[in-house]
Amino acid sequence: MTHQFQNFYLFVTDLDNTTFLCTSSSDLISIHIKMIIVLDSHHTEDLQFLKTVENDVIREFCNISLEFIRKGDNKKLYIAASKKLNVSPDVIENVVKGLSHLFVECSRFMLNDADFKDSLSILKFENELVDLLKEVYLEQRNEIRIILQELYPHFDHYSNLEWRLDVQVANRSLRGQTINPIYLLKLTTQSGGTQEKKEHILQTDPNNLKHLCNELEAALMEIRSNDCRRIMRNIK
Amino acid sequence: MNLSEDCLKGLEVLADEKIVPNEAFRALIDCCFDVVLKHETESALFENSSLKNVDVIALKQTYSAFIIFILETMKSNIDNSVITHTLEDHKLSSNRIQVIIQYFNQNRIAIRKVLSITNFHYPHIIDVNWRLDYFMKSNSIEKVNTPVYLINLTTEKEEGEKGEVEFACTLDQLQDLVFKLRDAQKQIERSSIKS
Repeated sequence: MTHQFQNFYLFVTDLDNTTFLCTSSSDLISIHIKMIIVLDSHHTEDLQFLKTVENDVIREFCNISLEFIRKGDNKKLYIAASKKLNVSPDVIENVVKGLSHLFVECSRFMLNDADFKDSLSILKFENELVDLLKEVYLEQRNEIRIILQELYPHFDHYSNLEWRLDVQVANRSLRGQTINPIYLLKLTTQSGGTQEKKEHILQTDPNNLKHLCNELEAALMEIRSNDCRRIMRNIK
Repeated sequence: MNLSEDCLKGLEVLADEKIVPNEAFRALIDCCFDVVLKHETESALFENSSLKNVDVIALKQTYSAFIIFILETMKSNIDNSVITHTLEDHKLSSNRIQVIIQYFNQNRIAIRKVLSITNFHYPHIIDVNWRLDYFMKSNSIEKVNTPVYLINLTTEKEEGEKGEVEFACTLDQLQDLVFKLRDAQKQIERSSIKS
C-alpha cells in the first residue's frame, strides 16, 4: 500500500501568484483542495501597520476599504484618517489598498474561513485581529462578489419594464373606422458596474407581443431542459 | 369632402378626352394607385410610353390632382356613390368613372392600410433573439456559476429602417420581464371581453 504515503502536489495559480501545496492522498479524497491567497511582500509590509493600532481603528480601516471597493479612491478620507492617527496619508492609502486587495482576492475565490485564516498566517497577526478580519470578510463577501460580478458583462442589464396599452383612433392621413392597438413599452436598463439608468421607449402590436412572450418563455424553459441541467451539474 | 381649387381643375383636365386620351387615362390612373400603394415611385409617370404624348404640364396637373383625390377620399373612407357624384360634377364620362370606381373597389383596404402606417412612431419591436450563457468566471471573479440571458430586440423605426436594443438579464430578471409582458398581452383580451 505504497500510495498511502504518497503526497499530491498541487499548483494553485492566479494572475500574479503561484502557490505550491502539498496534501496527502486521504485529504485529496475528501475533495478539499486548499486555496490560499498569497500576499506579496508589498502588501505584507503595508498590512503590518494594523498590528500597531486599536481594534476600533481596524474596523474603520475595514469600512474605508469596503468603500474603496464600492466607489474607488477617496483621498479626503485618507487625509482625515492620517491626521487622526498622526501618520502620512500614503501609509493610510497603502493599508486601505492592501486590505481591499485581501478582501477582493479572497472573495474572488470564495475562500472559506479556514483558508482565509491560513492566507493571513504569513502576516503573523494576533488571533484576535485575524478573527476580526475574518468576521468582516464573511460579512461582506456577498456584497463584494456582487460588485465584482457587475463588471461583467459590460452590457446593459435589465432593470424594469412598464407598459401601456393604447388604441390609435386617427392620424393625419386616416380618420375614423380604424382601431389600431399599440403597446407602449418603457424598458429601463442599467449599464454594468454603474448606477446609470437608460430608458428605451418602444412600441409593439399584439401579434408581435405574443411572439415576444412565446420566445422569451421558451428561453426560460430552456434552463430546465436536460441538456442545460447536465451542464450546470457538471460545472462546479 | 373639401378639395382645393387646383385639385378640382386637375380633375376637369382629366375629364378632357382631347388632352388625356383613353389609353393615357388608364395608364395615369394605374400609375396613381401604384404610387399611393408604394408599389412605384413618381418617376414611373415619365417612363410610361402611353403617357409620352400627353402635355407635361397637363400630366403633372392631373397626376397631382388625382393623387390628392385618392388620399382625401380614402382618408375619410368615402363610399363609391359619393365618389361617382363628385366625378360626375367634374364632367368625367361614365366610362372613366367606371374605371376609377373599379380601382377603388380593388384597392380600398390596401390604401387605408398604407395610410394607417403613414405616421411617426416609436421604434416598433418586430422580433427578438436570445442567448443563454452560463457565467462561470471572469477576470475579476470566480465560481459564479449562474445563468445569464442576452436578449436582443429587433426594432423598426420607419419602413425597412432596423434598429436593435440589447441587454442582459439574470434568470429572475427574465422571469420578471416575461411576467410583465404576459400581463400586458392578457390585457387586450380582458379589454375586448369588457367591451
